[in-house]
Amino acid sequence: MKLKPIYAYSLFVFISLLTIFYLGQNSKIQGIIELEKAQISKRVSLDVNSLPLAEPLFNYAGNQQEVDLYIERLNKQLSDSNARVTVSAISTSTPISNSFTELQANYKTVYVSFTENNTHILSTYIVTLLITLFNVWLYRKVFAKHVENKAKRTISTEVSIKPKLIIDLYTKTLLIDGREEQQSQLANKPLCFYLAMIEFSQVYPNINLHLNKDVPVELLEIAEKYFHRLAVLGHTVRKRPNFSNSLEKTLSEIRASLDEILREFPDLKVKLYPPKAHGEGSRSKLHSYGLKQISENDYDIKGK
Amino acid sequence: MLKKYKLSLKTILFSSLIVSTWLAWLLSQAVVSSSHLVLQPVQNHKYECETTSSENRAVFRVKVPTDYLAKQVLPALCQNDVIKRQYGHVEVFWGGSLAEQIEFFGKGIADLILSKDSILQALRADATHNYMPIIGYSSYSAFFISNKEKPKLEKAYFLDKKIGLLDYPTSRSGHILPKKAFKSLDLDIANLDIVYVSSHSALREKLANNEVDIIASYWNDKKDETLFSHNYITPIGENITGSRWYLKLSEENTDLACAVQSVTKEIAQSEGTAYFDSLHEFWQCNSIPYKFIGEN
Repeated sequence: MKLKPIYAYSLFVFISLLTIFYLGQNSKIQGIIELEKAQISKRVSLDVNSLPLAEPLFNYAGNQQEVDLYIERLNKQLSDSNARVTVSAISTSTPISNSFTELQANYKTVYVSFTENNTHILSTYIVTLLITLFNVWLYRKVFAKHVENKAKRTISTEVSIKPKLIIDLYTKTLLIDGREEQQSQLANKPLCFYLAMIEFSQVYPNINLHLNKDVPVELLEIAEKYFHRLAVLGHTVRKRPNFSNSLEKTLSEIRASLDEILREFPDLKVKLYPPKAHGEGSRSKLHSYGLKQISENDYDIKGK
Repeated sequence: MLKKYKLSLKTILFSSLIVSTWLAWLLSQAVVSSSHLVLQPVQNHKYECETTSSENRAVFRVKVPTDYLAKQVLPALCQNDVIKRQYGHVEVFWGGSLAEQIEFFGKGIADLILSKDSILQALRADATHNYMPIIGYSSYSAFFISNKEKPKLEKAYFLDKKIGLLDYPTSRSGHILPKKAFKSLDLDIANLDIVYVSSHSALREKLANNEVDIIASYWNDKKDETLFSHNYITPIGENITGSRWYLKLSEENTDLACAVQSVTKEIAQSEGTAYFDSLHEFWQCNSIPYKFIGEN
């Protein structure tokens, strides 16, 4: 089974932090223990002359009871100041325990044995958990952002790749965005009519355009508007065309032009190509040459 | 630009990890409280008290061998009228070290000291600092004491016995006299099985537990009869002078001598051990004029 990245990450962070925390606390505790041992040794060194310790050279038997009393009092002081070290024995013979200090004097060597308390403060380990949680939270946050960015990027690339029809009023040409080498010019009348069709289909998406009916007034008005625009842009205009006349011819001129440039973009063609009537009853009342599926993203009019 | 943003997210994550490890280390150190160990002297070998005339800067110094005795002597002296009149401060030092005793005695540091005649003689403390005996514990005898039979003062008798002696060389009954006895029997101490202990009571304990066969000590009728038999002791020395309290008297300060005598007498009697049972007073303090009466 493959571990989910967030779990793997949490585990990694937690174990790392735990190790660091353990090592840190361990080193601090060891440092404290060494320091306390040194302090205790100093105290014992100063007191050792009045302690009745056994001294083999001078046949001194020593007084173990008094030494024990001394140790007890010393340990009381140590526990009162929350020391991690206590004294377990003071003697002139080598102790069995492995934690001891050797105090060398002129005629004798005194061994101070210690009991160390190197237990960690377990409750403080919650710190590692908290820091881990913070990191995991950050990871999730960053990961979410990352995913979002990725999604954004794919969308934007799609947008840029998505072909778009450019209708240039300055040059009266049709072309696909990014494919400037393929252009197709249109005469005033079909150009204005096509532009009117696009705009009309957007404004009145529910109105069907039938070949056997009169062209709607609204559409004609838009066509007129574009015609004026062309005049304003300085194109040679002989006379105002009658847009209602020879509708079929106008449409086929438009189709021919679109055929040229939309050959490679069937998706776009579906949206931008005025539908042809097919087969029997093609001139029926049902057929509409309107651009039903067009959306604003599919075209761009320059010089509007 | 997007690429750059993605990199910065990774950087945030990475730097957060760095900061976290650093924080974990820092906190691991911070949660363990540091050691502020200041150890006071465990045993206090010096006690002091102030008399009512605290303006008086004169200090009365006392040297005794045990903590117990020091604690008895201190309040008694501070409450004494003569001491109050003459001194502003009383200091009592205690310790069993012979070297210390010699310092206090031989250099005249102590005004009052519990010591032995032999040490006084060795240091000539009576001549150099005019130490005078105040009160003396009675003379006593030294014995070899056994558990099972009366010890014989014969060379062969000691050879296979375990002998308990005291470890301090100034003890007459527990160290000097038994060794003197061995010497007179022509016994080499190195060939004897000797166990040294630090006190008379420890000697008795060892004998009672059969850890040694013979001990050398004084005989205490009251206490020793219960543990050992009076029939199984052999004397090795008589008329051993007991410990004495010595006072440094540079002037004819008879008031002080009598005051100290009353204080030390009270302490000696309250202790009640037979070893120190009958006391010898060196000063006549019952009737005027107060004076030194000496040994008899």
